[in-house]
Amino acid sequence: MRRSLMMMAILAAAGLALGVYHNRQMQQGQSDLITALVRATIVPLQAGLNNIANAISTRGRALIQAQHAAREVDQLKEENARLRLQLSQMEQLQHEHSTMQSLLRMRPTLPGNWVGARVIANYPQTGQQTLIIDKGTRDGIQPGAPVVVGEGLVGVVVQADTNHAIVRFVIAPRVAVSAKVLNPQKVSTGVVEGRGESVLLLNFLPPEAPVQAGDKVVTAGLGSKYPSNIPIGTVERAWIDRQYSVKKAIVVPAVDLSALEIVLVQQGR
Amino acid sequence: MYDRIRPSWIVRLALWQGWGTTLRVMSLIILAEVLQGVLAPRIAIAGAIPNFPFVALACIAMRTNPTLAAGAGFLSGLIEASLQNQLMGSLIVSRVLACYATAFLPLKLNPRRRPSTMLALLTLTVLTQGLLYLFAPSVFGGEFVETNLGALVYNIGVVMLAFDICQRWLPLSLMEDDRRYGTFNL
Repeated sequence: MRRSLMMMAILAAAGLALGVYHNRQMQQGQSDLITALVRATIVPLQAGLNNIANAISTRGRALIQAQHAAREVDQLKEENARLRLQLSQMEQLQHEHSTMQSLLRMRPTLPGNWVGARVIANYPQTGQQTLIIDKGTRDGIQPGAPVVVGEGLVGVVVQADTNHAIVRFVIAPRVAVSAKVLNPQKVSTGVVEGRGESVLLLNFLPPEAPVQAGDKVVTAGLGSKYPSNIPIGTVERAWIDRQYSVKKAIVVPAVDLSALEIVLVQQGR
Repeated sequence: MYDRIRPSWIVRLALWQGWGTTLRVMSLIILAEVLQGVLAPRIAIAGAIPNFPFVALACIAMRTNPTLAAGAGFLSGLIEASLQNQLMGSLIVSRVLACYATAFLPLKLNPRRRPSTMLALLTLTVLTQGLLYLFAPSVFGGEFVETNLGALVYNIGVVMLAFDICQRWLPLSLMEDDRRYGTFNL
């Protein structure tokens, strides 16, 4: 106990002596040999450790930043997907809106009662060329009812069930519509026939009928199946069939039949 | 019949069996001082900076004898004053006295228990900072208490982690051998 107390006293006295020595050296502007020696030992160790700590810290920060960036990218991707979906929905709505507008424009020109129907399924492929709509006999739709959109004639109802109906396109085989060609010189009448292709055949025109490419073709209204003056398409080319002494023409449909969403169907046929 | 021959001090110093322990203590102090300058400011929490030398000194005081603890305090004070180039005497004396006093705690407390080391840290901090406040007050009153209180709380957390390291680096069995064979009694 006494010995350790003595040791402690010696150490404390040495500390005081060092303090006095240090202060004196500092006052004289001279460097203290002991502190310089201690610094020369400790500072390089600190410098080395500092470099290591800096390297770890830099890498750690980079890692954290990378994690933040990755999280941010994920969030942005999610937001991008959500915005794309919204944009797609907006485009869809805009398209629907323009379709409705054209239908509303056409509606007053059509005789009788017409009902709007949404397309459930569409089969524009060759050999099928039909579509299914969400209205049926419950809504007053009967087979033979014409189906139109703002651009023109789509086809005719061939089968009507309670809640839905099947429509055959005007370009489908065995569909025939009386039509007139609106040529500036003279309006001629013929029959537009579906051939199962993407274009229509305008048949039975008088050989002297002035028909040329670009002429508009509309329904003639004969036979009272289709109302008159519904656009069918545009003449692409015309020629005279000498065998039957008639003029024929190829007509490009006015309606894009692959992109139908809402149609008008005549009720009570 | 036989005269008891006592070798000279230099022979006794060379044959001293406490060198290993002393080197371990010194390395622990140096490590704590190196870490204090580099690591401590980086891990400050709400302005409270841990004091690794205090943690090391508390562990040493609980695991060695008062003489070695006072020596550790001397070394710690010397290094810290040298690195800061100020308060040489105040830092050394305050740490020597505080470590010496704290090293008597194992007489009352079990050094194998973690709370004992925490209590030693508390005692050491109060003594060291109190003495430093008397010798060379740098800040006064409330600010002094506030500064040291945060560091003390932080240090208690650090000492809980450092306890295991100290247990391996300075095993009590080594110290008991030293005590038994008087290896610290030059």
